[in-house]
Amino acid sequence: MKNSNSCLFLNGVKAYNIRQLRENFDTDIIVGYLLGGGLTQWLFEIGETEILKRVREIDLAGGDFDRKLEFIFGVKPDPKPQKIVFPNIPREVRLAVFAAKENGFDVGDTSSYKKPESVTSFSGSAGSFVRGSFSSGSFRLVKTSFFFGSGGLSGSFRPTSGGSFSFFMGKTQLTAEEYQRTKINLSSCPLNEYGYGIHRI
Amino acid sequence: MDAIHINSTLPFFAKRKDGDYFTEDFTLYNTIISALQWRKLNGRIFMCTDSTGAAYYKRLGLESVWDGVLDIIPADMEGIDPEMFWAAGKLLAMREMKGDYALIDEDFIVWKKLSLSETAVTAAHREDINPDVYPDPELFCADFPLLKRLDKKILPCNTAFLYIPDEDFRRFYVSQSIAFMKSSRSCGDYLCHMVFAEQRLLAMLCGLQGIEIETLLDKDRLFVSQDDYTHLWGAKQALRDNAEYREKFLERCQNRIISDFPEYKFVIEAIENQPKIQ
Repeated sequence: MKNSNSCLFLNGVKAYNIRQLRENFDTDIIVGYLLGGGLTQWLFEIGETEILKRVREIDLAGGDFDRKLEFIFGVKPDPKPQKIVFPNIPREVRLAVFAAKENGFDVGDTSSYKKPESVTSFSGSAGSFVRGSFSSGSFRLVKTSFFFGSGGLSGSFRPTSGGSFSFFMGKTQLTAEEYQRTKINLSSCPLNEYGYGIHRI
Repeated sequence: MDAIHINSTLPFFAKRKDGDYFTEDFTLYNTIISALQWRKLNGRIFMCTDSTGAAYYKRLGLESVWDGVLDIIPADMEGIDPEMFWAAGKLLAMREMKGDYALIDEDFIVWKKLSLSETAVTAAHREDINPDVYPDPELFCADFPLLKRLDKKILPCNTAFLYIPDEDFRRFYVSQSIAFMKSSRSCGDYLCHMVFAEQRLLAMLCGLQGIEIETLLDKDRLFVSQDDYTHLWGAKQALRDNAEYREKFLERCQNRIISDFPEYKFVIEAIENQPKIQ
């Protein structure tokens, strides 16, 4: 059943329909909705079955979600791989365009390039390429460094030691009554040192 | 108000490849008291689990402890690493559950009738940003672009109790959290990524969208005597490590069930007959 009260939270804005989604398109958040399952739920609820079908066709084990979503919602051109035609564009620029596309960088329509004599820069629809480096757009560096050792951490909680508990108490203002009750409770249930309220059981 | 307990069994099998599923006795006792106490004062409560969990509760004859046992968590957790994200079942269950409800961890008990904000998110309490538990999110093994836009100064929320009245915001949080988990690569961490996805990200997303957070307890007074909430929390490890603690605790749980919920006395035998901790 169609529910027009259902919305997506974008960056400080709520989208109740596709028009509002497009006007406030926030790729980072919408990709999150896609991977987390909320996007298909919402499209179903608002009755957008055609778009829902296309979103469901996205392979969640793949990648390039941002460009695929931008295309489906009509905010960017078709991201499908296309045969690249270079009309009289210098070799350096062609190589740059090729490299950009290989790296998932949207360079827009390459046929609109108008300055064949200048080979140091060009602009695409989602960013720019200047002297061999990407300066903006959807290109992302992939982190390769891990900070965790091979052993890692385990468990869900590090039990508070007696020492740190005392410190905790030391910075907490207690009334005399609270102090007495706390002393009684801790002595009656030592587990309270690791959790709280366990004396109630 | 309705509430849910959540138990996903896949993390259990990630650690123990063989044998049948079981829950540690002290956790099971605490869960049962939590459910019965909630029903006594606050409303209905459902156990959301997977097919293995549902079969387990049925085999022990515990189904009547809740208002229903719901098999709604995907058995494969949709490919999320069960060791790294041992609490992912909570997010997957919340995604499937519609309507108004609070989430209560199995080791958390509410001893009083609650009256919660209808607009703010309510969590158990805040937590300090201890770098051993909550390191800089930029160090995570995850390709999650939203990270760089979140406020690192916002204190995480402990979600042993969680109530999100706005269903659309709940979907926002749940979706982003699941997306973070699915975007993460296994890297030998079994704590920081999980508590980020569940607890710190929630607070950060509230900050991003201007949603207020209330808490049941003041984080600086958690260990000050109070009678309204029980949270086993780190005591679970103490119960594993100390046989004397454990025996006394189990006895108190049994006495509590006999005195407050005598019609459920049968659960004691059911729990005592299941395998013990190895």
